[in-house]
Amino acid sequence: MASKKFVALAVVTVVILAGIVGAVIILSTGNQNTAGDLVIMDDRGQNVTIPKYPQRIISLGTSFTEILFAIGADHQVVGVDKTSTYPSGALSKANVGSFYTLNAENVTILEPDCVITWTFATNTISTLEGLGIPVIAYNPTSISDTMRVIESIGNATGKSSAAVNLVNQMQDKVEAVTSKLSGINPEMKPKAYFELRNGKTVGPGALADELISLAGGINIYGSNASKYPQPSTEFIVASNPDVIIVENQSSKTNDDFVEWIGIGSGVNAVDQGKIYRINGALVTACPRVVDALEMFAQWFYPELFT
Amino acid sequence: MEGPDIGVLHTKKLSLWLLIITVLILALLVTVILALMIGPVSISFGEILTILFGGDASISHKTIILNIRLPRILLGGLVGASLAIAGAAMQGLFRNPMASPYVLGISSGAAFGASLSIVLGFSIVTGQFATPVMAFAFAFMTLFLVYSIAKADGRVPVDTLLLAGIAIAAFFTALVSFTKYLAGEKLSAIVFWMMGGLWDSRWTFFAFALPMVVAGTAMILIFSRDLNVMMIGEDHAVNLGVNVPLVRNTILVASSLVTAAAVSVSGVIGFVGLIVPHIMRLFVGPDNRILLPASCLVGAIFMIWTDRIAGTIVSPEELPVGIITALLGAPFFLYLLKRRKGVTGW
Repeated sequence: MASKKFVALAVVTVVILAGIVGAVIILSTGNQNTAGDLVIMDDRGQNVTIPKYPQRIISLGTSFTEILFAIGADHQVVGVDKTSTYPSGALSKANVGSFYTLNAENVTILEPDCVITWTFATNTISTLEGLGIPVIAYNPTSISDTMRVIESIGNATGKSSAAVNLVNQMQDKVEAVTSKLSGINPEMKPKAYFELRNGKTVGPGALADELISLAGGINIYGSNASKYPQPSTEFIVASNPDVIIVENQSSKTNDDFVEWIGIGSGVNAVDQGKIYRINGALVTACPRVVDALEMFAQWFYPELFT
Repeated sequence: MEGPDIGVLHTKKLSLWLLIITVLILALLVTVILALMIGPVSISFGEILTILFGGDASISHKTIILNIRLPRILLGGLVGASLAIAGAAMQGLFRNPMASPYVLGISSGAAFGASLSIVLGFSIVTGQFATPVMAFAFAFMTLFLVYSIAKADGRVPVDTLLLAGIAIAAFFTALVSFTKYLAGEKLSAIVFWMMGGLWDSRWTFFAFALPMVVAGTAMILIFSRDLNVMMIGEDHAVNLGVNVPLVRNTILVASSLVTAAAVSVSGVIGFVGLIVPHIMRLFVGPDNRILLPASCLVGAIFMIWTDRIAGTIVSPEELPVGIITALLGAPFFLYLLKRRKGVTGW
């Protein structure tokens, strides 16, 4: 009986080894790419081949949807993810769900010729590429990144001139803000604390941190911090921000902030009532990010910007 | 007066078991066919048959049936079968009804491996197998860690194994929390991975998991009779001629093998490994020779159906399948428990 079992175990070991060999073979085969006429370099450093120009685009990410609509490529879009709610035209496009837990059926049935999404949705990207759908993945983390992505999407969709126009308009708005701020004494710059809807704040590398600096403010978490630090009450009180900005989608009301930090704690933002809310959709890598910049500048320097 | 002929009883029992297994295999096949009809996109049964037999159909429908639904159903079956048989084997080995495939902390180790890959981009291989390979490797590393900690004087008492498993699981869970803290915008990716789901099923993952699940299941089934004997106590089992260290180590390795294979491709799907063996025990009794294969087959059927529900009920969204398994499994199990009050299953 025991020897029978050893034989069985041996057979089973062979099966495992065969499986490992098979897996190695599969691991070394690559993905297939569809033929097309246009090659775009995405933020993964990959050259993605798409048709010239794609007419059945699926956009996974509200930033990209906004960009596509803003450059007039919305007629080339057949599907969006569930977070794409702006502009209102996006709501009439087919909804394929969340881009983290995407059911590939919803994408396949739309017969897309191109998908645009974020680089960190790695599973979704490899699933779609495994099905032969070209994926362009971007990772814009700053205003200049956003402009670069707008131009790239313009090239990919045949809307280059509209894209360049949009970028120039954005550039003008940025300069309108930064030019008024040249010559401001660094000692006089207001300190700011920004809070996201999930309760975290922003540090170096985050888009809102760049907005604060460009608008002439100083992010109290702007140095020596991770990208999305967990805020500490003591540090906020000690830093004494002059302005507090919170995502409007946060469940914390302005009164919650006053209570949390405490009246009479000596924090300027609380004592002077300078707690402002901004639509979180503006603080993303989309064309309206320059509007967010203007709002930050107005809150920091009300006497300079009306 | 003559008692019943033990030979006849034995044959009757074996025929009954064979019947059960055959019925379950047929049920599994029917499940696979029916499940192909369910999904966010409606495709007629006739068209499904056409596609399966290599006929003509639109490219998108062909892709959906052959490259999305079919691998997902088969992978779901594989995952359900693995978790159920590993759960039953663990419950037998530890003589503990609360044991599940994750009792040795394998899921926490796998989650840590996955988080290293997803959040920090660190992996042994590149490409689509980056995360599954890391999850699998760390799952096995956890087994060896727990085993080495529990080993003392050449013996490995199961109670110590359990305690070591709890401690190691807590350790890895803390590490996963730390990587979540560092995650930034990749946080959602690791959270969804840990919730477990089959939305990312591919033929390559099926090929990766299949040989390991087949091998591990075979290893467990070979020792089902020895497991029966070990349930009366390890010392007694030794006296009855069971090679306890061999059986115990093989069952540990085999259960970990199938669990690791399942978790590496589908995340941590809870509940199936704990509840399916209990439900089957109420129907077929505690003899591992029928309980293990029956749990395996029913686990597959259960997983396929719950995954179909999870993938269609809130379309175009996906619900994590662990929610469905818990919502369906727990009340059904409680109902069975109430109905069969007098039956000793445990």
